[in-house]
Amino acid sequence: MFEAYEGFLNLDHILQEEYQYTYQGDLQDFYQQPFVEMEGVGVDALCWISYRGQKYLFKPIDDFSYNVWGELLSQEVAREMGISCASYRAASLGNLKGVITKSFIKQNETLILGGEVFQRFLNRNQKLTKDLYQRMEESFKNSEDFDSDITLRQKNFFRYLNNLEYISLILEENPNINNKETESLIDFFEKMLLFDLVTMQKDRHPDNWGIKKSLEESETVHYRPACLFDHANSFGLGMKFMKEKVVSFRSQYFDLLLLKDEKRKKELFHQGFPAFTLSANNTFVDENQENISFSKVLKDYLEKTSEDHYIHFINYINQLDVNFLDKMIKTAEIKNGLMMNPDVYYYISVLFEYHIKQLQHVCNQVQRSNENAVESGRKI
Amino acid sequence: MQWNQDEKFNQIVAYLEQNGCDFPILIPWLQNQKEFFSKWEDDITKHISFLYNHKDLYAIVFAYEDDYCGVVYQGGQLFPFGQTEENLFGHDYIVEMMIHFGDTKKIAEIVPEIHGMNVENKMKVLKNVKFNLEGYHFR
Repeated sequence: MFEAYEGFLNLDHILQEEYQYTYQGDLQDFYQQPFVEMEGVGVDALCWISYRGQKYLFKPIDDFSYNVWGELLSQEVAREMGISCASYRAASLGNLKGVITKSFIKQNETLILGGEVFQRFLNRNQKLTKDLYQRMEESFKNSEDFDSDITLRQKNFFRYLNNLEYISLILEENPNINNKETESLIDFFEKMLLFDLVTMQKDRHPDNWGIKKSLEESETVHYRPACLFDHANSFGLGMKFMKEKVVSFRSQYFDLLLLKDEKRKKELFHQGFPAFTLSANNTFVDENQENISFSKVLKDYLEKTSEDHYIHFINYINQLDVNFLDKMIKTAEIKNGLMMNPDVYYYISVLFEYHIKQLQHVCNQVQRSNENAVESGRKI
Repeated sequence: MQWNQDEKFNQIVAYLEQNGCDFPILIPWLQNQKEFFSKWEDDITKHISFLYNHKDLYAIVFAYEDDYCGVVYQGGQLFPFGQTEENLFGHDYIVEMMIHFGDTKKIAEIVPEIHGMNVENKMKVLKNVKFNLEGYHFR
Protein backbone atom coordinates (compact mmCIF):
# COMPACT_ATOMS: atom_id res chain seq x y z
CA MET A 1 0.00 0.00 0.00
CA PHE A 2 1.56 3.29 -1.17
CA GLU A 3 4.86 1.43 -1.51
CA ALA A 4 6.52 4.49 -3.05
CA TYR A 5 6.06 6.34 0.23
CA GLU A 6 7.77 5.22 3.40
CA GLY A 7 6.64 5.81 6.97
CA PHE A 8 3.88 8.23 7.84
CA LEU A 9 1.71 9.05 4.80
CA ASN A 10 1.10 12.68 4.01
CA LEU A 11 -2.02 12.49 1.85
CA ASP A 12 -1.84 16.20 0.96
CA HIS A 13 1.53 15.55 -0.62
CA ILE A 14 0.28 12.41 -2.44
CA LEU A 15 -2.87 14.16 -3.76
CA GLN A 16 -0.78 17.10 -4.89
CA GLU A 17 1.61 14.82 -6.79
CA GLU A 18 -1.09 12.62 -8.29
CA TYR A 19 -3.94 15.06 -8.95
CA GLN A 20 -2.38 18.51 -8.42
CA TYR A 21 -5.06 18.98 -5.79
CA THR A 22 -4.55 20.96 -2.61
CA TYR A 23 -6.85 20.11 0.27
CA GLN A 24 -7.64 23.29 2.16
CA GLY A 25 -9.86 21.89 4.88
CA ASP A 26 -13.06 22.40 2.89
CA LEU A 27 -14.86 19.05 2.93
CA GLN A 28 -17.59 20.26 0.57
CA ASP A 29 -14.97 21.04 -2.04
CA PHE A 30 -13.08 17.83 -1.26
CA TYR A 31 -16.11 15.61 -1.89
CA GLN A 32 -16.61 17.28 -5.28
CA GLN A 33 -13.30 15.83 -6.45
CA PRO A 34 -13.61 12.92 -8.91
CA PHE A 35 -11.19 10.78 -6.89
CA VAL A 36 -13.16 11.08 -3.61
CA GLU A 37 -16.20 9.07 -2.46
CA MET A 38 -18.09 8.90 0.82
CA GLU A 39 -18.38 5.82 3.03
CA GLY A 40 -21.97 5.07 4.07
CA VAL A 41 -21.27 2.83 7.05
CA GLY A 42 -19.90 4.07 10.34
CA VAL A 43 -19.49 7.56 11.60
CA ASP A 44 -15.70 7.75 11.70
CA ALA A 45 -14.54 6.74 8.22
CA LEU A 46 -14.26 9.98 6.28
CA CYS A 47 -13.78 9.10 2.61
CA TRP A 48 -12.51 6.77 -0.06
CA ILE A 49 -9.66 8.05 -2.19
CA SER A 50 -8.91 6.51 -5.59
CA TYR A 51 -5.22 6.20 -6.34
CA ARG A 52 -3.69 4.35 -9.28
CA GLY A 53 -6.58 1.92 -9.77
CA GLN A 54 -7.09 1.17 -6.08
CA LYS A 55 -9.39 2.64 -3.45
CA TYR A 56 -8.27 3.64 0.02
CA LEU A 57 -10.41 4.52 3.03
CA PHE A 58 -9.19 7.37 5.22
CA LYS A 59 -10.39 7.40 8.81
CA PRO A 60 -9.43 10.33 11.08
CA ILE A 61 -8.73 9.41 14.70
CA ASP A 62 -9.40 11.59 17.74
CA ASP A 63 -6.41 11.95 20.09
CA PHE A 64 -4.34 10.49 17.26
CA SER A 65 -1.03 9.93 19.06
CA TYR A 66 -2.90 7.79 21.60
CA ASN A 67 -5.67 6.03 19.68
CA VAL A 68 -3.80 5.24 16.46
CA TRP A 69 -2.00 2.36 18.18
CA GLY A 70 -5.14 0.22 18.49
CA GLU A 71 -5.35 -0.17 14.72
CA LEU A 72 -1.59 -0.43 14.11
CA LEU A 73 -0.85 -2.97 16.86
CA SER A 74 -3.89 -5.12 16.10
CA GLN A 75 -2.71 -5.42 12.52
CA GLU A 76 0.68 -6.67 13.70
CA VAL A 77 -0.87 -9.17 16.14
CA ALA A 78 -3.18 -10.47 13.38
CA ARG A 79 -0.15 -11.02 11.16
CA GLU A 80 1.63 -12.81 14.00
CA MET A 81 -1.42 -15.01 14.65
CA GLY A 82 -1.79 -15.78 10.93
CA ILE A 83 -5.22 -14.14 10.57
CA SER A 84 -6.04 -12.13 7.49
CA CYS A 85 -6.44 -8.44 8.39
CA ALA A 86 -6.89 -5.20 6.42
CA SER A 87 -3.63 -3.23 6.05
CA TYR A 88 -3.46 0.11 7.81
CA ARG A 89 -0.98 2.96 7.56
CA ALA A 90 -0.91 6.09 9.67
CA ALA A 91 -1.72 9.11 7.49
CA SER A 92 -2.74 12.75 7.55
CA LEU A 93 -5.02 14.90 5.44
CA GLY A 94 -4.85 18.60 6.22
CA ASN A 95 -5.00 18.86 9.98
CA LEU A 96 -6.71 15.47 10.28
CA LYS A 97 -4.58 12.55 11.42
CA GLY A 98 -5.71 8.95 11.21
CA VAL A 99 -5.25 5.73 9.29
CA ILE A 100 -5.69 4.75 5.67
CA THR A 101 -6.58 1.27 4.48
CA LYS A 102 -6.80 -0.35 1.07
CA SER A 103 -10.16 -1.74 -0.07
CA PHE A 104 -10.21 -5.52 0.17
CA ILE A 105 -13.26 -5.86 -2.08
CA LYS A 106 -12.66 -6.78 -5.73
CA GLN A 107 -15.03 -5.87 -8.57
CA ASN A 108 -16.70 -9.31 -8.49
CA GLU A 109 -17.11 -9.27 -4.69
CA THR A 110 -19.62 -7.83 -2.26
CA LEU A 111 -18.97 -7.36 1.44
CA ILE A 112 -21.96 -8.57 3.44
CA LEU A 113 -21.67 -7.09 6.90
CA GLY A 114 -22.75 -9.06 9.98
CA GLY A 115 -25.83 -6.82 10.28
CA GLU A 116 -26.96 -7.90 6.82
CA VAL A 117 -26.20 -11.55 7.63
CA PHE A 118 -28.48 -11.27 10.68
CA GLN A 119 -31.19 -9.33 8.82
CA ARG A 120 -31.32 -11.89 6.01
CA PHE A 121 -31.47 -14.69 8.57
CA LEU A 122 -34.34 -12.90 10.31
CA ASN A 123 -36.20 -12.55 6.98
CA ARG A 124 -35.63 -16.16 6.01
CA ASN A 125 -36.36 -17.76 9.36
CA GLN A 126 -39.11 -15.95 11.15
CA LYS A 127 -40.07 -18.89 13.35
CA LEU A 128 -36.54 -19.59 14.55
CA THR A 129 -36.01 -15.85 15.01
CA LYS A 130 -39.09 -15.65 17.22
CA ASP A 131 -37.79 -18.55 19.33
CA LEU A 132 -34.37 -16.92 19.70
CA TYR A 133 -35.89 -13.54 20.50
CA GLN A 134 -38.06 -15.13 23.16
CA ARG A 135 -35.01 -16.91 24.57
CA MET A 136 -33.21 -13.58 24.77
CA GLU A 137 -36.13 -11.92 26.56
CA GLU A 138 -36.40 -14.78 29.06
CA SER A 139 -32.67 -14.87 29.78
CA PHE A 140 -32.24 -11.14 30.19
CA LYS A 141 -35.65 -9.93 31.29
CA ASN A 142 -34.12 -7.90 34.11
CA SER A 143 -31.41 -6.41 31.97
CA GLU A 144 -31.32 -2.66 31.57
CA ASP A 145 -30.12 -3.14 28.01
CA PHE A 146 -33.64 -3.53 26.67
CA ASP A 147 -35.71 -0.74 25.37
CA SER A 148 -39.23 -0.44 24.07
CA ASP A 149 -38.04 1.32 20.89
CA ILE A 150 -38.06 -1.16 18.01
CA THR A 151 -34.76 0.05 16.49
CA LEU A 152 -32.96 -0.46 19.81
CA ARG A 153 -34.71 -3.77 20.41
CA GLN A 154 -33.50 -4.97 17.03
CA LYS A 155 -29.97 -3.75 17.71
CA ASN A 156 -30.00 -5.62 21.02
CA PHE A 157 -31.27 -8.74 19.31
CA PHE A 158 -28.44 -8.57 16.78
CA ARG A 159 -26.05 -8.04 19.67
CA TYR A 160 -27.52 -11.20 21.21
CA LEU A 161 -26.84 -13.09 17.97
CA ASN A 162 -23.29 -11.72 17.72
CA ASN A 163 -21.47 -14.80 18.94
CA LEU A 164 -19.79 -17.87 17.50
CA GLU A 165 -22.57 -20.22 18.59
CA TYR A 166 -25.37 -18.37 16.78
CA ILE A 167 -23.29 -17.39 13.78
CA SER A 168 -22.52 -21.09 13.29
CA LEU A 169 -26.24 -21.86 13.47
CA ILE A 170 -27.09 -19.05 11.03
CA LEU A 171 -24.46 -20.15 8.52
CA GLU A 172 -25.41 -23.80 8.76
CA GLU A 173 -29.04 -23.11 7.93
CA ASN A 174 -28.20 -20.79 5.00
CA PRO A 175 -29.05 -22.70 1.80
CA ASN A 176 -26.71 -20.52 -0.31
CA ILE A 177 -23.56 -21.38 1.63
CA ASN A 178 -22.18 -24.88 1.14
CA ASN A 179 -20.77 -27.06 3.93
CA LYS A 180 -17.14 -26.43 3.04
CA GLU A 181 -17.66 -22.66 3.00
CA THR A 182 -19.56 -22.82 6.30
CA GLU A 183 -16.70 -24.76 7.86
CA SER A 184 -14.13 -22.26 6.65
CA LEU A 185 -16.23 -19.28 7.82
CA ILE A 186 -16.76 -20.78 11.29
CA ASP A 187 -13.05 -21.55 11.53
CA PHE A 188 -12.27 -17.91 10.68
CA PHE A 189 -14.77 -16.53 13.20
CA GLU A 190 -13.27 -18.78 15.87
CA LYS A 191 -9.86 -17.25 15.12
CA MET A 192 -11.46 -13.80 15.22
CA LEU A 193 -12.84 -14.53 18.68
CA LEU A 194 -9.39 -15.53 19.96
CA PHE A 195 -7.76 -12.56 18.27
CA ASP A 196 -10.28 -10.26 20.00
CA LEU A 197 -9.48 -11.87 23.36
CA VAL A 198 -5.75 -11.29 22.93
CA THR A 199 -6.07 -7.70 21.68
CA MET A 200 -8.83 -6.65 24.15
CA GLN A 201 -11.07 -5.82 21.20
CA LYS A 202 -14.41 -4.56 22.44
CA ASP A 203 -16.00 -3.16 19.31
CA ARG A 204 -16.65 -6.26 17.18
CA HIS A 205 -20.32 -5.37 16.65
CA PRO A 206 -22.18 -6.84 13.65
CA ASP A 207 -20.94 -4.10 11.31
CA ASN A 208 -17.31 -4.79 12.19
CA TRP A 209 -17.09 -8.22 10.61
CA GLY A 210 -18.35 -9.60 7.36
CA ILE A 211 -18.51 -12.23 4.67
CA LYS A 212 -17.32 -11.77 1.09
CA LYS A 213 -19.70 -12.95 -1.61
CA SER A 214 -17.94 -13.45 -4.91
CA LEU A 215 -19.38 -14.08 -8.33
CA GLU A 216 -16.94 -16.24 -10.28
CA GLU A 217 -16.55 -16.30 -14.08
CA SER A 218 -18.47 -19.57 -14.13
CA GLU A 219 -21.43 -17.60 -12.67
CA THR A 220 -21.15 -19.57 -9.42
CA VAL A 221 -21.31 -17.68 -6.13
CA HIS A 222 -18.88 -18.31 -3.30
CA TYR A 223 -18.81 -17.11 0.29
CA ARG A 224 -15.55 -16.50 2.10
CA PRO A 225 -14.57 -14.67 5.28
CA ALA A 226 -13.72 -11.00 4.82
CA CYS A 227 -10.43 -10.07 6.44
CA LEU A 228 -10.54 -8.45 9.89
CA PHE A 229 -11.01 -4.70 9.99
CA ASP A 230 -11.64 -1.77 12.35
CA HIS A 231 -9.62 -2.25 15.52
CA ALA A 232 -9.46 1.24 16.94
CA ASN A 233 -11.03 0.02 20.20
CA SER A 234 -8.39 -2.46 21.24
CA PHE A 235 -5.45 -2.47 23.68
CA GLY A 236 -7.50 -0.30 26.01
CA LEU A 237 -7.64 2.49 23.43
CA GLY A 238 -10.34 4.18 21.39
CA MET A 239 -12.25 5.69 24.29
CA LYS A 240 -13.34 9.26 24.80
CA PHE A 241 -10.87 11.49 26.67
CA MET A 242 -8.12 8.96 25.90
CA LYS A 243 -5.34 11.46 26.40
CA GLU A 244 -6.53 12.32 29.91
CA LYS A 245 -7.05 8.64 30.75
CA VAL A 246 -3.58 7.65 29.58
CA VAL A 247 -1.83 10.56 31.26
CA SER A 248 -3.47 9.96 34.65
CA PHE A 249 -3.07 6.17 34.48
CA ARG A 250 0.50 6.04 35.79
CA SER A 251 -0.17 8.03 38.95
CA GLN A 252 -3.42 6.20 39.65
CA TYR A 253 -1.65 2.88 39.24
CA PHE A 254 1.18 3.87 41.61
CA ASP A 255 -1.36 4.95 44.24
CA LEU A 256 -3.10 1.61 43.99
CA LEU A 257 0.19 -0.29 44.27
CA LEU A 258 0.95 1.57 47.45
CA LEU A 259 -2.53 1.02 48.81
CA LYS A 260 -2.58 -2.61 47.65
CA ASP A 261 -6.20 -2.08 46.72
CA GLU A 262 -7.04 -5.00 44.41
CA LYS A 263 -10.65 -3.98 43.89
CA ARG A 264 -9.75 -0.51 42.66
CA LYS A 265 -6.93 -1.96 40.60
CA LYS A 266 -9.45 -4.22 38.88
CA GLU A 267 -11.65 -1.20 38.21
CA LEU A 268 -8.75 0.80 36.80
CA PHE A 269 -7.81 -2.08 34.52
CA HIS A 270 -11.36 -2.83 33.46
CA GLN A 271 -11.50 -2.54 29.70
CA GLY A 272 -15.15 -3.01 28.94
CA PHE A 273 -16.63 -6.07 27.41
CA PRO A 274 -15.98 -8.11 24.30
CA ALA A 275 -18.72 -7.41 21.73
CA PHE A 276 -18.26 -10.71 19.91
CA THR A 277 -18.45 -13.68 22.24
CA LEU A 278 -18.60 -17.44 22.27
CA SER A 279 -22.24 -17.85 23.18
CA ALA A 280 -25.35 -15.80 23.87
CA ASN A 281 -24.80 -16.35 27.59
CA ASN A 282 -21.96 -13.85 27.42
CA THR A 283 -24.02 -11.16 25.74
CA PHE A 284 -25.53 -8.93 28.38
CA VAL A 285 -24.15 -7.74 31.67
CA ASP A 286 -25.60 -9.08 34.91
CA GLU A 287 -25.65 -7.05 38.11
CA ASN A 288 -22.09 -8.18 38.96
CA GLN A 289 -20.90 -7.34 35.44
CA GLU A 290 -19.34 -10.77 35.34
CA ASN A 291 -20.97 -12.71 32.56
CA ILE A 292 -19.24 -10.93 29.75
CA SER A 293 -15.58 -10.43 30.64
CA PHE A 294 -12.73 -11.49 28.35
CA SER A 295 -11.73 -14.11 30.97
CA LYS A 296 -15.23 -15.58 31.10
CA VAL A 297 -15.39 -15.86 27.31
CA LEU A 298 -11.98 -17.57 27.27
CA LYS A 299 -13.02 -19.99 30.02
CA ASP A 300 -16.16 -20.93 28.07
CA TYR A 301 -14.10 -21.37 24.93
CA LEU A 302 -11.50 -23.63 26.55
CA GLU A 303 -14.20 -25.73 28.14
CA LYS A 304 -16.09 -26.22 24.90
CA THR A 305 -13.48 -26.37 22.16
CA SER A 306 -11.78 -29.44 20.71
CA GLU A 307 -8.61 -30.73 22.39
CA ASP A 308 -6.22 -29.67 19.63
CA HIS A 309 -7.64 -26.11 19.54
CA TYR A 310 -7.49 -26.03 23.34
CA ILE A 311 -3.83 -27.09 23.46
CA HIS A 312 -2.88 -24.77 20.62
CA PHE A 313 -4.45 -21.70 22.21
CA ILE A 314 -3.16 -22.42 25.73
CA ASN A 315 0.36 -22.75 24.32
CA TYR A 316 -0.09 -19.53 22.37
CA ILE A 317 -1.37 -17.56 25.36
CA ASN A 318 1.39 -18.87 27.62
CA GLN A 319 4.14 -17.53 25.39
CA LEU A 320 2.69 -13.99 25.30
CA ASP A 321 4.35 -11.32 27.41
CA VAL A 322 5.51 -7.72 27.27
CA ASN A 323 8.41 -8.68 24.99
CA PHE A 324 5.87 -9.83 22.41
CA LEU A 325 4.11 -6.47 22.70
CA ASP A 326 7.42 -4.61 22.41
CA LYS A 327 8.14 -6.45 19.17
CA MET A 328 4.73 -5.46 17.76
CA ILE A 329 5.24 -1.83 18.80
CA LYS A 330 8.69 -1.69 17.22
CA THR A 331 7.38 -3.08 13.91
CA ALA A 332 4.44 -0.67 13.86
CA GLU A 333 6.73 2.27 14.71
CA ILE A 334 9.13 1.49 11.86
CA LYS A 335 6.39 0.90 9.28
CA ASN A 336 4.54 4.08 10.14
CA GLY A 337 7.39 6.43 10.97
CA LEU A 338 5.94 7.06 14.43
CA MET A 339 7.27 6.85 17.97
CA MET A 340 4.91 5.75 20.69
CA ASN A 341 4.83 8.34 23.42
CA PRO A 342 6.07 7.09 26.83
CA ASP A 343 2.69 7.58 28.54
CA VAL A 344 0.95 5.45 25.92
CA TYR A 345 3.69 2.84 26.13
CA TYR A 346 3.35 2.65 29.90
CA TYR A 347 -0.46 2.43 29.71
CA ILE A 348 -0.56 -0.24 27.00
CA SER A 349 2.24 -2.39 28.37
CA VAL A 350 0.92 -2.44 31.97
CA LEU A 351 -2.59 -3.13 30.74
CA PHE A 352 -1.51 -5.81 28.27
CA GLU A 353 0.62 -7.59 30.86
CA TYR A 354 -2.25 -7.57 33.34
CA HIS A 355 -4.70 -8.76 30.69
CA ILE A 356 -2.47 -11.60 29.49
CA LYS A 357 -1.85 -12.71 33.06
CA GLN A 358 -5.62 -12.87 33.57
CA LEU A 359 -5.96 -15.00 30.43
CA GLN A 360 -3.04 -17.21 31.49
CA HIS A 361 -4.67 -17.62 34.90
CA VAL A 362 -7.86 -18.84 33.20
CA CYS A 363 -5.82 -21.24 31.06
CA ASN A 364 -4.12 -22.67 34.16
CA GLN A 365 -7.44 -23.02 35.99
CA VAL A 366 -9.06 -24.89 33.12
CA GLN A 367 -5.95 -27.03 32.64
CA ARG A 368 -5.88 -27.95 36.35
CA SER A 369 -9.55 -28.79 36.39
CA ASN A 370 -9.09 -30.99 33.30
CA GLU A 371 -6.12 -32.74 34.92
CA ASN A 372 -8.17 -33.33 38.08
CA ALA A 373 -10.99 -34.76 36.00
CA VAL A 374 -8.57 -37.14 34.28
CA GLU A 375 -7.03 -38.04 37.64
CA SER A 376 -10.42 -38.86 39.24
CA GLY A 377 -11.34 -40.79 36.11
CA ARG A 378 -8.22 -42.93 36.61
CA LYS A 379 -9.07 -43.50 40.26
CA ILE A 380 -12.54 -44.67 39.35
CA MET B 1 -61.39 2.50 -11.04
CA GLN B 2 -59.17 -0.29 -9.75
CA TRP B 3 -55.95 1.01 -8.25
CA ASN B 4 -53.87 -1.32 -10.45
CA GLN B 5 -55.40 0.33 -13.52
CA ASP B 6 -54.57 3.78 -12.23
CA GLU B 7 -52.04 5.84 -14.19
CA LYS B 8 -49.88 6.43 -11.14
CA PHE B 9 -49.73 2.72 -10.39
CA ASN B 10 -48.60 2.04 -13.95
CA GLN B 11 -46.00 4.79 -13.73
CA ILE B 12 -44.59 3.26 -10.54
CA VAL B 13 -44.46 -0.22 -12.08
CA ALA B 14 -42.83 1.16 -15.23
CA TYR B 15 -40.24 3.11 -13.21
CA LEU B 16 -39.39 0.03 -11.15
CA GLU B 17 -39.05 -2.04 -14.32
CA GLN B 18 -36.78 0.57 -15.88
CA ASN B 19 -34.56 0.15 -12.82
CA GLY B 20 -34.37 -3.61 -13.08
CA CYS B 21 -37.10 -4.35 -10.52
CA ASP B 22 -39.51 -6.30 -12.69
CA PHE B 23 -40.38 -8.94 -10.09
CA PRO B 24 -43.95 -10.21 -10.61
CA ILE B 25 -44.10 -10.80 -6.86
CA LEU B 26 -43.87 -7.03 -6.36
CA ILE B 27 -47.23 -6.27 -8.03
CA PRO B 28 -49.52 -7.64 -5.29
CA TRP B 29 -47.51 -5.75 -2.66
CA LEU B 30 -47.78 -2.51 -4.66
CA GLN B 31 -51.51 -3.05 -5.02
CA ASN B 32 -51.81 -3.06 -1.25
CA GLN B 33 -50.05 0.29 -0.92
CA LYS B 34 -52.78 2.35 -2.58
CA GLU B 35 -53.32 4.53 0.46
CA PHE B 36 -49.61 5.35 0.78
CA PHE B 37 -49.03 6.01 -2.93
CA SER B 38 -52.21 8.04 -3.35
CA LYS B 39 -50.60 10.82 -1.29
CA TRP B 40 -48.01 11.35 -4.02
CA GLU B 41 -49.15 14.27 -6.06
CA ASP B 42 -46.29 14.91 -8.42
CA ASP B 43 -43.26 13.24 -9.97
CA ILE B 44 -43.19 9.67 -8.64
CA THR B 45 -39.46 9.21 -9.16
CA LYS B 46 -38.56 11.54 -6.31
CA HIS B 47 -40.32 9.19 -3.87
CA ILE B 48 -38.52 6.01 -4.92
CA SER B 49 -34.95 4.99 -4.02
CA PHE B 50 -33.01 1.83 -4.61
CA LEU B 51 -30.59 0.69 -1.92
CA TYR B 52 -27.66 -1.30 -3.27
CA ASN B 53 -24.81 -3.20 -1.70
CA HIS B 54 -22.14 -2.90 -4.40
CA LYS B 55 -23.91 -4.33 -7.46
CA ASP B 56 -26.65 -6.18 -5.58
CA LEU B 57 -30.04 -4.58 -5.10
CA TYR B 58 -30.77 -4.71 -1.37
CA ALA B 59 -34.09 -2.87 -1.03
CA ILE B 60 -36.59 -0.55 -2.70
CA VAL B 61 -37.58 2.34 -0.45
CA PHE B 62 -40.71 4.46 -0.97
CA ALA B 63 -40.81 7.74 0.94
CA TYR B 64 -43.41 10.43 1.38
CA GLU B 65 -42.58 13.30 3.71
CA ASP B 66 -41.67 11.52 6.97
CA ASP B 67 -43.31 8.19 6.10
CA TYR B 68 -41.49 5.40 4.37
CA CYS B 69 -41.96 1.76 3.55
CA GLY B 70 -40.47 -0.70 1.11
CA VAL B 71 -39.34 -4.19 0.40
CA VAL B 72 -36.19 -6.26 0.56
CA TYR B 73 -35.98 -8.76 -2.30
CA GLN B 74 -34.28 -11.92 -1.12
CA GLY B 75 -34.22 -15.39 -2.62
CA GLY B 76 -37.31 -14.81 -4.76
CA GLN B 77 -39.32 -13.48 -1.83
CA LEU B 78 -40.26 -9.99 -0.68
CA PHE B 79 -39.79 -8.83 2.88
CA PRO B 80 -41.73 -5.63 3.51
CA PHE B 81 -40.66 -3.03 6.05
CA GLY B 82 -41.91 0.34 7.21
CA GLN B 83 -41.07 2.79 9.94
CA THR B 84 -44.47 2.47 11.54
CA GLU B 85 -44.03 -1.27 12.04
CA GLU B 86 -43.49 -2.15 15.67
CA ASN B 87 -42.45 -5.76 15.26
CA LEU B 88 -39.04 -7.16 14.48
CA PHE B 89 -40.07 -8.38 11.03
CA GLY B 90 -41.27 -5.03 9.75
CA HIS B 91 -38.02 -3.29 10.46
CA ASP B 92 -34.91 -3.60 8.30
CA TYR B 93 -31.55 -3.05 9.98
CA ILE B 94 -29.64 -2.02 6.83
CA VAL B 95 -32.37 0.32 5.56
CA GLU B 96 -32.58 1.97 8.98
CA MET B 97 -28.80 2.35 9.12
CA MET B 98 -28.69 4.00 5.70
CA ILE B 99 -31.66 6.32 6.25
CA HIS B 100 -30.20 7.39 9.59
CA PHE B 101 -26.91 8.12 7.84
CA GLY B 102 -28.78 11.29 6.91
CA ASP B 103 -28.67 12.27 10.60
CA THR B 104 -24.93 11.87 11.04
CA LYS B 105 -22.43 14.64 11.60
CA LYS B 106 -20.41 13.36 8.65
CA ILE B 107 -23.10 14.10 6.07
CA ALA B 108 -24.04 17.37 7.77
CA GLU B 109 -20.51 18.65 7.13
CA ILE B 110 -21.13 18.39 3.41
CA VAL B 111 -24.86 19.10 3.27
CA PRO B 112 -25.53 21.21 6.41
CA GLU B 113 -29.18 21.72 5.48
CA ILE B 114 -29.88 17.96 5.70
CA HIS B 115 -30.59 18.24 9.42
CA GLY B 116 -34.23 19.08 9.83
CA MET B 117 -35.22 17.60 6.45
CA ASN B 118 -37.97 15.03 6.30
CA VAL B 119 -37.15 11.48 5.24
CA GLU B 120 -38.28 12.03 1.65
CA ASN B 121 -35.90 14.98 1.20
CA LYS B 122 -33.10 13.21 3.07
CA MET B 123 -33.43 10.32 0.63
CA LYS B 124 -33.22 12.74 -2.28
CA VAL B 125 -29.97 14.13 -0.87
CA LEU B 126 -28.55 10.67 -0.18
CA LYS B 127 -29.33 9.56 -3.75
CA ASN B 128 -27.11 12.37 -4.98
CA VAL B 129 -24.25 11.82 -2.54
CA LYS B 130 -21.21 10.28 -4.17
CA PHE B 131 -21.08 7.13 -2.04
CA ASN B 132 -18.48 4.41 -2.37
CA LEU B 133 -20.21 2.23 -4.97
CA GLU B 134 -18.57 -0.92 -3.62
CA GLY B 135 -20.57 -0.63 -0.38
CA TYR B 136 -24.12 0.34 0.58
CA HIS B 137 -25.46 3.27 -1.42
CA PHE B 138 -28.71 4.72 -2.71
CA ARG B 139 -29.58 5.14 -6.38
